[in-house]
Amino acid sequence: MSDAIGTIASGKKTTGLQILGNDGTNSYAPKIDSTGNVSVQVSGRKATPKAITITSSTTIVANGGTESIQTAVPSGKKWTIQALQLQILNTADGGEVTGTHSVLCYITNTSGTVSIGNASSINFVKRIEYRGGFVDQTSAYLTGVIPDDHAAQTKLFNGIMLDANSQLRFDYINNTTANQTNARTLKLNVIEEDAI
Amino acid sequence: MDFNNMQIGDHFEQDGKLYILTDKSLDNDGQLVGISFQPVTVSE
Repeated sequence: MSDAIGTIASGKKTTGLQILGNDGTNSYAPKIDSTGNVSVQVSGRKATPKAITITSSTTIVANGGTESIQTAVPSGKKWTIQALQLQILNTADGGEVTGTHSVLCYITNTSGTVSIGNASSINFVKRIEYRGGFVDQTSAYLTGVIPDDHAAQTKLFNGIMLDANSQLRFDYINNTTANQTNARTLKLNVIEEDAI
Repeated sequence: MDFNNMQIGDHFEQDGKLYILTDKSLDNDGQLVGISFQPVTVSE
């Protein structure tokens, strides 16, 4: 009989069932209550999948208006990002809109911010969108995307851990000639756990 | 910073800059999950 962990030890004097311990030498009898159930102690933390939607619809004025969209991970919780989608539409359909609108992405914490990416759309302003794991670059007017490689973009957000002191933030800058009146939307799929 | 008790239009300071809270997003349980804000220009 194998002496692998979890099997009944051979050559041991036993009274009833004995389980070989992690030390590989000693064996132990499981505790069985009066109803015949085996007592088991389980340790760990509760993990819950969660879908987050953050929207903003306040007008961002033309020629330099800015806005930040930021997660608000509750105190005592930890989020691990599984998927992310960001959509910022063009400032106006048709017309003579010129200029640039752009978005920069940060992780903020008590000791400062770390930039993890940015994208801009120049004249004939197009939407800025991250979905399916990469920035939508079908528009020839989208420029300055960092990182610009699809494989790197896919890895950009997955697995990032956030908590109350370390939030995900997008800074949007409207340097076009039209007000930004379309809603900005950030969607996240996260695993929420209790922070240790 | 605890944004739960802040109202849209309230001012707050972050990274040494002054901002105005412009939106709050809640999940289905009413838990705050996101915010948006714009910088406040202080005229002298």
